[in-house]
Amino acid sequence: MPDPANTEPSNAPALTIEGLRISAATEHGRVDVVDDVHLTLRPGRITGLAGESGSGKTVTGLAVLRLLAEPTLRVESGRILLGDLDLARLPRGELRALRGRRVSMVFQEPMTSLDPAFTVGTLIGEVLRRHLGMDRRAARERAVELLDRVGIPEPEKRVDSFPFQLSGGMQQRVLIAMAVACGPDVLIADEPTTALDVTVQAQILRLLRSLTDDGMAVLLVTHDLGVLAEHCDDLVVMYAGQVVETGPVDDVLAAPAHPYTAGLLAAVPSTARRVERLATIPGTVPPPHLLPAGCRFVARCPHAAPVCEEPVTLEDAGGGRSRRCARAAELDLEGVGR
Amino acid sequence: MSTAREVVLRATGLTKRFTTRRNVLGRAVERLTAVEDVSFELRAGKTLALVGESGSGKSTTARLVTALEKPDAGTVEVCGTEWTALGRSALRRERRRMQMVFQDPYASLDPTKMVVHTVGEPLLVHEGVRGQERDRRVADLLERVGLSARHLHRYPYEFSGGQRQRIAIARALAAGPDIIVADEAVSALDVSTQAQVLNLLLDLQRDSGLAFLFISHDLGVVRQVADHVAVMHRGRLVESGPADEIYESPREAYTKSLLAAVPEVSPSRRRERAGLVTESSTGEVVG
Ligand SMILES: Nc1ncnc2c1ncn2[C@@H]1O[C@H](COP(=O)(O)OP(=O)(O)OP(=O)(O)O)[C@@H](O)[C@H]1O
Ligand SMILES: Nc1ncnc2c1ncn2[C@@H]1O[C@H](COP(=O)(O)OP(=O)(O)OP(=O)(O)O)[C@@H](O)[C@H]1O
Ligand SMILES: [Mg+2]
Ligand SMILES: [Mg+2]
Repeated sequence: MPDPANTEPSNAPALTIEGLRISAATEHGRVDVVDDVHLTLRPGRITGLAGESGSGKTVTGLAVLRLLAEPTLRVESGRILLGDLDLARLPRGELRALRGRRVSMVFQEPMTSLDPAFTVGTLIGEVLRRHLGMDRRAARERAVELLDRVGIPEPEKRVDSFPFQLSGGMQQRVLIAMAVACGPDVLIADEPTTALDVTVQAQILRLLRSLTDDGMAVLLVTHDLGVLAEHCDDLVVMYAGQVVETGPVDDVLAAPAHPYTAGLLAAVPSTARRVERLATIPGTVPPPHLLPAGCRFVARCPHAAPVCEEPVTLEDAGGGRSRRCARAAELDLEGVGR
Repeated sequence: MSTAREVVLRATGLTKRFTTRRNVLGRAVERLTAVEDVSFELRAGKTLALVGESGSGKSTTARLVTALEKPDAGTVEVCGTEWTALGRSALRRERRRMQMVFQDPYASLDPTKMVVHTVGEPLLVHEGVRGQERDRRVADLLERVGLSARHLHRYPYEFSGGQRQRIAIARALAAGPDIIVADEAVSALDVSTQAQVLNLLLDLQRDSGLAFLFISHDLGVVRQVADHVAVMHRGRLVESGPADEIYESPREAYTKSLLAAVPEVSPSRRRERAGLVTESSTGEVVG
């Protein structure tokens, strides 16, 4: 029953990206690798980000934290709003103070992002001391609590372990503990479970859910559409540097509005039965310097028509959904059955 | 179809221990058994998938069978030759029979080498092929994996993840192997690119009778390629058998728990799975 007095977690966005464009220096000159990206993260919700390899998912996440490999990569235009702050324009020093405290990122490779020379307790404690000014003892106590929170058994013992003494799944949990130590508003998790088996993956995703239940907003980058379907609230699909479709996960999966999304869904390998031949999307994504002026998916799209040669914008379709397809209104694309 | 094909890879009783801590004198004080008493057979033209949790010993097993690592016990036999008994130079001659493709297409190709050299290296090493003959052979290989001669003189950074994985496969094929060991070879790819690479592997298998030892934690992918599945848990094989049997009527609680944890896109399949789990629930299944 909807109760007007019931204070739902505020629906104000935790983070909004508007018209983000990022360029990269290549042997073909400066080319845009991210172009006109829009997305909104809300408190208490997990937003899944999927898309072709090289479509700009990681670069978008890095831009939010101002961690792009400059000067090769550079934000050209657009806004990244955290409340009233535009992260794309904030002075570097101020941004550094926010990183880890209000916005955090978990990277794909746990072993390469944990400093092997320090114990887990020191690594987590360092974040707390820097941002919250905790003393050594308080930081250690809090580190133990955090390890417990992310589901590491015997946290009082594990706090003194070095990263290499932990399995991949435990390392990933330590990274999440570091990322959420200061209770950030926004967590960006880039393929946090790709290297893990399904049981550990399920634990990590349950952990992310319990953190969002406390009001955090999460952007979860993943290739695994099963993970999106089961663990995300909203979905953003990218292709060749652009957002091509967004909306509530169940709605998008049941009735995709962009042919690329439909193509991805058709390619998901089933555990139910072996098929003669897997469905694929023919061809490959064009490189950034050879993108067409119109729809970037046109050369691979089974529904391509002359209208697709024209530039196309991300269009609001109602129901919290948007899509970038000139033919969306006339297409009836197949999704996964409810 | 029903004639038994020849065994191309046989692992018997493989065991591997790693030293995880040494004392000040350099003596091992803590050891970890990564692989324990693992045995399996792979037949020509077939695919055996190795699945199991992170750290269960899948990659170590792959490194043992490809002789990148020496077992503490057990033997590896490839096309009738016992690799574990061979000397260095004999092993080098035999290596072409079994090639590896790894997970990370970014890390596994030498960034300083053009495609023609990366793919052509096995041709040079095993057959002494060079010059124009090499270019022609490499172009053929590139075409087999869905690339073309125009990619010969390009560097890895000019390719997408999926294309790099094709280059890695072309290089593996260049040696003319009977067996390819693929360790998480498609894990970093998006699903449509992944499907293209898997179709390619299946085509190659059908056309040239290649056998695959296929390691993956994606149970959907495994379902689509595997004839047999072996499940590893803490260094041991806990269950193995024809793929259909493993997926449709797993016996071990551990296998059931793995299958139950696969995230499904389809809501109906999710409900089916929930039914399966409660039906067979013995209290051992973890959700
Ligand atoms: N340091 C860099 N220098 C130049 N180009 C880069 C750099 N990092 C990324 N790019 C380019 O930017 C584009 C987007 O890359 P990004 O890593 O964001 O893709 P992604 O969507 O995360 O892909 P994947 O799913 O494979 O992780 C690609 O074309 C890539 O080649
Ligand atoms: N060189 C090494 N030294 C010490 N321990 C090792 C070494 N290589 C592997 N191990 C350990 O052996 C065990 C098995 O590792 P292995 O890499 O074979 O697992 P895996 O099944 O491939 O896991 P994943 O799915 O995470 O790739 C792990 O506990 C690992 O930490
Ligand atoms: Mg990425
Ligand atoms: Mg491995």
